[in-house]
Amino acid sequence: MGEAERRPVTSQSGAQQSADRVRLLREELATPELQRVLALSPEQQKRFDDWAADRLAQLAERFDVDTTVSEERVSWGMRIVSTLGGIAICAAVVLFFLRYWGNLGTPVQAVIVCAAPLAALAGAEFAAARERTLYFTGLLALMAFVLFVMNLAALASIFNFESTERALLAWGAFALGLAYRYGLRLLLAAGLLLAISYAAAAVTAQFGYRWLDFSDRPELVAILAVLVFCVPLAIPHPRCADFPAVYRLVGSIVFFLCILSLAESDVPSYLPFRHVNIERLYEFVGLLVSAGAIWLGIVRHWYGLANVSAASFVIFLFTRLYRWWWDWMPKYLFFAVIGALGIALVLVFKRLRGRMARKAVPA
Amino acid sequence: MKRASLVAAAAILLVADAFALIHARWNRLGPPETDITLTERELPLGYNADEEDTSVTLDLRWMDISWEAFGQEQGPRWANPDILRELGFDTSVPPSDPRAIEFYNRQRPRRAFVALEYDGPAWQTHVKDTARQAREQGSGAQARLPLHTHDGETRLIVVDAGSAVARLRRRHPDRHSVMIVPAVVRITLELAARANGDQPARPARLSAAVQQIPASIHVPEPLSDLFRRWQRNPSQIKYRVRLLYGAENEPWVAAVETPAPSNP
Repeated sequence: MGEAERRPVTSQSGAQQSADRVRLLREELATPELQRVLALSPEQQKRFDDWAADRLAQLAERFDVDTTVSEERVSWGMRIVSTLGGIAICAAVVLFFLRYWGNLGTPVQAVIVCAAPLAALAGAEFAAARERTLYFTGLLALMAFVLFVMNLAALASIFNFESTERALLAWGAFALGLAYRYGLRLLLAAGLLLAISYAAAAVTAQFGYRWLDFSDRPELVAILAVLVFCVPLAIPHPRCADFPAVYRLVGSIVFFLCILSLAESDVPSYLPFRHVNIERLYEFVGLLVSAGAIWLGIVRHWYGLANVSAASFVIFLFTRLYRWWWDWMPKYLFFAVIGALGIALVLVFKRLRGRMARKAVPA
Repeated sequence: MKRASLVAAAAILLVADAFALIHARWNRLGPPETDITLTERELPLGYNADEEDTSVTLDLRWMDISWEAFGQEQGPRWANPDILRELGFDTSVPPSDPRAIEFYNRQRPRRAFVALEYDGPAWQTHVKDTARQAREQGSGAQARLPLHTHDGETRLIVVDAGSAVARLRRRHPDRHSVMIVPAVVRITLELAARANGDQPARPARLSAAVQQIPASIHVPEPLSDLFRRWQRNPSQIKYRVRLLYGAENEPWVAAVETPAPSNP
């Protein structure tokens, strides 16, 4: 049972999950196979139908959830269109500004770039008060974020500021504020990435290095990614039930990318060992942690984590095999071995799945 | 929580903008740290990749001279162990030590300030050095190569580096010919060279190289109009730009002069 199911429905995603379960139950009960096993009396059937219709209507009224498969498909289309539309509008605004801002005086430029994100934020707030699905709100919030990025970048350009990592802090905090205000996962992910980048850049700058070099030695970024992964364990999210998964996804993806670059991409490390030993160490760490994360994802029902970790495990394994065998093994044999390993992994996962299914069956 | 996050988001917007505008004002308060006039050789018009971008920028061009002397590349004259230590580099391993290559390769570039001298002794030395090298190589295999000319070359030369602006300014007090700018500097190791013919042996030594100086300088309205007009007819543009650096070592363009039209 996921986090959302254990608590009363308070978020749009939790409401959608609840509506999906009701809809599936209604569909299953209508199948002849189940009716042979669980025959409801006409009165019970009517009570169930009334309850299901009432429940779906309540959820639709309060959270504007999809109560049919067709509605769900249309909603996905709307989500994709609103995201793409938001990106296109942001590009249009930025390019429009670039087209004309050279002809404006400095005070006018400063007023426009400062006012633009505030106007978009006010627009998002206005839209949020009038819609429950937050398509337009998400679009305007994304615009506010992009305009704020443009705001500080334009001020830095107008006044020739020396580049500073503090802009990452402002952008990240703003994105997180918008994400929590409107329950937007895309902005949460952007905010978390910016927060990780800022923390790593601030430490790098503190030691007298250029802040832009913060990703040169990725161990620090990897540690920060682990901290981001752990945030939902320390801070519960009762009102934003789908946010912990975003923390875990961002944390795990950034962590595995850091370890992969340390193991395979010839990047420098903080460790005072020979380069080849550092690469071997991180290959081992990558394999071990990704295997552990697959287990954790399965046990805790964190399916996003399990998928990311499985992909990372396969990448770590195959790159290791490539280094071992590619040069001396005939190419056909190499791919044959990789194929055999792929089949072996499928069998392992199948067995794991079977064991989980047996555990799930009540005694 | 939700109301608080909205207030926080709006506050971040306002505080960040206020901070940026106060920072810009603070930079331009008081007497400028550097007041220098440069030409199109040091500040050429910046390349604008996007044709629709109407902003105008100038690119600061500078030279950190490491030259071929007797066939051996040498680091810039300003880079000595004392300055390297002042910049925060660890110079504890002697350059001749077998561990030196890995030790110095592992050190990351550091933030610093550098002094750029305009059309001064460092430039004159550079002109003389290249002329001397051309004479020395005149009879060799490179004799058929075209002679190096300095037309259009920037006359801004890196002459010093330090960790603080005030200390550098004390060493170079002329604010009209030496500009102090933020930079990124990396440590380098010059390997030992054996004697070869008339070339003397040279021991391994530590040196440095300027890796980056913020180069792009925005030109505000109405000064940018001049450059836009020139962009339509870019050949033979000659101009002089009065460039100021403020308390935060950030530049701004104070004036643009064009040469007086010649009498017919």
